[in-house]
Amino acid sequence: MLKYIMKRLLAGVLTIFVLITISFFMMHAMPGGPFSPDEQKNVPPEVLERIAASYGLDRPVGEQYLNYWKNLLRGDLGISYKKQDTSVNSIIDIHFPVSARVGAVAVVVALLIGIPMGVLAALYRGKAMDMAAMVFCTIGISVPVFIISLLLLYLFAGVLQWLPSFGLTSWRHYILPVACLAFNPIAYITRQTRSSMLEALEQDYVRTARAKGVMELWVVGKHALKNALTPVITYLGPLVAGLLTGSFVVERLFSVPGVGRYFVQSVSDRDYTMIMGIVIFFGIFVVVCNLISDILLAIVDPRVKLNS
Amino acid sequence: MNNLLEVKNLNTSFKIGVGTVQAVRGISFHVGEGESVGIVGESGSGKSVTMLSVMGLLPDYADIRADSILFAGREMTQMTPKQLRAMHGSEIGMIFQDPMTSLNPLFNVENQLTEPLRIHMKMGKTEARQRALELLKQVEIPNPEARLKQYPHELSGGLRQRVMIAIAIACGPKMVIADEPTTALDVTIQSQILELLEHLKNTTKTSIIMITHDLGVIASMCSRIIVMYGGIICEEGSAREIFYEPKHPYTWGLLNSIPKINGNPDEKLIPINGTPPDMLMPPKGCPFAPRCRYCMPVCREYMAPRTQLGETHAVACHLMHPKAPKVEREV
Ligand SMILES: Nc1ncnc2c1ncn2[C@@H]1O[C@H](COP(=O)(O)OP(=O)(O)OP(=O)(O)O)[C@@H](O)[C@H]1O
Ligand SMILES: [Mg+2]
Repeated sequence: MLKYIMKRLLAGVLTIFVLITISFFMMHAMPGGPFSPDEQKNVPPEVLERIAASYGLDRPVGEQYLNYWKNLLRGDLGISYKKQDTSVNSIIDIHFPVSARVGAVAVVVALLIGIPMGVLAALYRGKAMDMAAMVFCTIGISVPVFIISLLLLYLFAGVLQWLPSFGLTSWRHYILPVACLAFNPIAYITRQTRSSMLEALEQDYVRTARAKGVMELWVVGKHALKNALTPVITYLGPLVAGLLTGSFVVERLFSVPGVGRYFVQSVSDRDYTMIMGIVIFFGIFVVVCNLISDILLAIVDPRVKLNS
Repeated sequence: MNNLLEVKNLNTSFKIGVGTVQAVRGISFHVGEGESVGIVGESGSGKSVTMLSVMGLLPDYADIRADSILFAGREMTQMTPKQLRAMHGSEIGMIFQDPMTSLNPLFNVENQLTEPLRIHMKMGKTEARQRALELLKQVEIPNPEARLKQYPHELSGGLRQRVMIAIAIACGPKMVIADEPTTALDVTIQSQILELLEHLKNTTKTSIIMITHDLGVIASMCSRIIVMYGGIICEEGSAREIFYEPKHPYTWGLLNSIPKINGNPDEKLIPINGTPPDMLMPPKGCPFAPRCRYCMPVCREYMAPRTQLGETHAVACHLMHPKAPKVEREV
């Protein structure tokens, strides 16, 4: 088990190292930028040069790279190119928890709805319940999140006026953004649970459980479900990583002050330190989430330790 | 000897997309208390379906009809699912063909072995664990304490089948049904498992139904043998009758396809030519007729009636008719 975790950890560290290096050099290979004289026509070139120097941009790229690492290892992601009094760390500190809160609720909702719905669809295979779930899944997987979001926003905040359309001041404010974020994952989890549940119910060990006189509820809820959930656990890492880092569309639409919005904005601002900082932060977050779901999987499925 | 299990006119079919699979077509048999009965027949002859029908363990789309299934004097066809469940694993234990897939890969031996004890005997954790250790010793698994904590993938096929046997006998059942318990195992392991089952039979007085497609497997163990083909019983009798006075050409075929006890090792084994019938459209006559070298016109038109040859020996073959030609088994 420990060896398995160490291996995954090492792979994660390597991934992050590569991610940082590639994104650093890509940023620097990009022509132009916020301090390039061609773009800032009304600022005197000497001023631009001074600003650039204050960010260390006058140094050779190799040295900048090493400096970036030095700061990074102290946990310092640098200062925004755009807002020169704001550090990348402070943006993440303030806005990530907002995204993470909404995202975490969405993850819980997705699991609490997706798993039971998938199980029921499998148990009532071919019946109305199953059909309805499958139609929902097809919609949930194929319709893009911004269309779903607009529809929900229009319906519940616009026409019906049941729910607030922006901000995050009460629990009711969470409903629409969470629903939009969870929509696609619910569909995915339902479909996955249904198909792995159908497979599990066909297995010999389920017949063995019945031959032992195990109650049907436990045959399904213990013997089949635990096996059916292993693919869902694998999906948990990307799911948590994806939802907790926020969604640009949803945060923009519902005026949620999350980090997802800042990320996209920093791209259009060409705020390179901000982009780098958020990419690295997200990268580490994704790696950690995947590591946790890998460990979870190894706990649930004892066979994992062998073939990894 | 009293009858423990008595099945009368069992018919089981499966409605599937293209039609109805008539897997079992009107079979009747009984198993006495403490008796061990073998059911033999080629793949697809309906052996598993027969036993799963008796247990009520077939999927919903199976259509099971029987005039009566009596177990220990109780009518199983009238039982509620709850009453049936109370018998599963406590009064009747089952051992399946493939020990690789019959155990749940995500639960350890202790969990799976103590499950019937906790359900049927209402044992607590420590008591069930104690009993599980005894059971593992009973099925001759060395180092039982360590085995309890292991998962199926950490055990060899033979050990897993021993665990399955331990599960089947956990609650001291009146009857154990073993559905091809050795088919998936190596030859050496096969004989060990058979020895173990025989030993359990002799020490616990449990009735055993041994399902197999290999007559050799049950030669030493079963006192009575039922030969199935195409969803019907074509011959049944004591082991002696089946081995030394077989009457049905299909039984002859089966006997010729196994090595003889004390036989010459170079002796040629004769397989039965042809393939088993398609149970979607079973032939209206004797199911074995198309492959039978003594086939008469009547065989293709009518099912053969059951002819009782002795107290235990019965055969369903038109050759038994007084006017049928006298044929001899070719050996
Ligand atoms: N769940 C099912 N659905 C549809 N048909 C089935 C089902 N189970 C069994 N059958 C059919 O019933 C017939 C008898 O099958 P059964 O499993 O009893 O054979 P068997 O004698 O046990 O053979 P084997 O030695 O291969 O185990 C076969 O034709 C099989 O295809
Ligand atoms: Mg079978």
